[in-house]
Amino acid sequence: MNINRLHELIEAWSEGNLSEDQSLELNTVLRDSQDARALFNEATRMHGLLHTAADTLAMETAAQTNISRVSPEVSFFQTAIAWQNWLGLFVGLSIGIVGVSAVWAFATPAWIAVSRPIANLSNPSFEASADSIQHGFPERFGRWGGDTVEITPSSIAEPKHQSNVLRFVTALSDPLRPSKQALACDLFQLVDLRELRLQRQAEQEMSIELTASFLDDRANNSQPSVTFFCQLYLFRGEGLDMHQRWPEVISEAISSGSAETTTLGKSGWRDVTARCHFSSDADFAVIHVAARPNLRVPMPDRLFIDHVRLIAKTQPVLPIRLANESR
Amino acid sequence: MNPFDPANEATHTLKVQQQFMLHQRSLLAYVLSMVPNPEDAQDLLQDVFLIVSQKANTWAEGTNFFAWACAIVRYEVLHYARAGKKRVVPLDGNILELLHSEETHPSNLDNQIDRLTECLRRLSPRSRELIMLRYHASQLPEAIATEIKRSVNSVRVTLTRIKQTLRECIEQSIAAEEHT
Repeated sequence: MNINRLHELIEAWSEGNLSEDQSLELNTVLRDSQDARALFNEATRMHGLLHTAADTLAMETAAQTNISRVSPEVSFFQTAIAWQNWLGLFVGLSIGIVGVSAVWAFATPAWIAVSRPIANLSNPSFEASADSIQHGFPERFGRWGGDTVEITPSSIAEPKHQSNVLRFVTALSDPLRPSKQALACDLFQLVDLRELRLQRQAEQEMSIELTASFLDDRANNSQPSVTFFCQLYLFRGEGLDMHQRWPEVISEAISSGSAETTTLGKSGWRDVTARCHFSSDADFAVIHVAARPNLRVPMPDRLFIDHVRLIAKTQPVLPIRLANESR
Repeated sequence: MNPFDPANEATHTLKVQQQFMLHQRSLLAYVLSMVPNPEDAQDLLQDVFLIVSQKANTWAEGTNFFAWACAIVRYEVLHYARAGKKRVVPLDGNILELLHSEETHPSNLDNQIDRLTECLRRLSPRSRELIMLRYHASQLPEAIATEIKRSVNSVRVTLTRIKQTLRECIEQSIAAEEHT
């Protein structure tokens, strides 16, 4: 086979674009040629390494205090990464494995999970007046706070739930890092979990799910792409000084979860759900929702959020003996 | 370890899960060499985590965890292929087995990822940006071309050239280490 043709097929494989005929062709050439198999193994190994190395570099970049400032023409991707999101992801990966295990356990059909909303989440569908939203990170429980947002009636955007939606208006810099360029329009709420902790029984596993509905109501195929985030962090303690220590305090989270979706306009309402294990010593949660344009531009118009839900899922503790089960 | 002692078994399972965390990055790279889409690869890796937890007792402490976990990855990829999930695993199961039989053992992936990360740092900002768009943001060349206002062919050619540069950088890094 022509080596260029093999490279084309490998490229199509790596992009997930192999047609039925191309798949047949690639399978045939790999079956018949040891040289082709060697080349394929090398190329696909490089594909895996590149993805993981690029992720590693992105996390390092995100964790740096100062994002280097280079010209927009060459730097938009680096500067468009909200470091908090990557730090959150890293924390989630580092401390969330037990939670992941528990969430999988909840997904096992043989076990019945019980879901119930956490009542301490305040103003979940943004029906209260705009005055209820604080400027900056919230200083007390049960109140939204963050960057510039506005509550919008149904005449502007069809709500997901009840009669209002919230529009992301402007991204603002963190007060602790005023010189850093704001990348995302963020909104936070502190939620007291102590009552939930008391309700949890010793023989139960519990996880928490944060779901929010997002709408990119720009014209179809609008640039830049926008990423909506749902993030959930659990902490010990009183939480009274969170507004003074955010986002550095993220590293003290005892459990976390993150989820995101990227849109290019006319997305329709999209539900995004972040999950994390509920540690028995968690006192409160910080929930974080955000919209981030993926180019260094002002916040695009017509990005909305509605119907935020915080749910506790409980289930009996799984039996330990799983090792002898056959798949 | 007494396998019938629930306390010992729980401790051992936790150790296995911790080993999984330690090798997670390398395991993902290994999955991605068979499952091209990163989201699918992550999903498959989650399945692997569950199997690893279920079969924790079949790993003996002191033996090569990564090799053991890679065998489970291969099993799971074949399972996907034979279940007809062609979108996730585009190759036939028998071809995958043939590839596995000739593959160099995927050892030292963590070291290779570190080398490659260092090589990415050395790229020009523009080249690094392209690689990050393709391999971190997982955008296809068509989307990258739209985003940076260049032709699709130009993006493909440039990515190929940068990948060759990175291969050479890795070889130089290995040669330099051997020299010292």
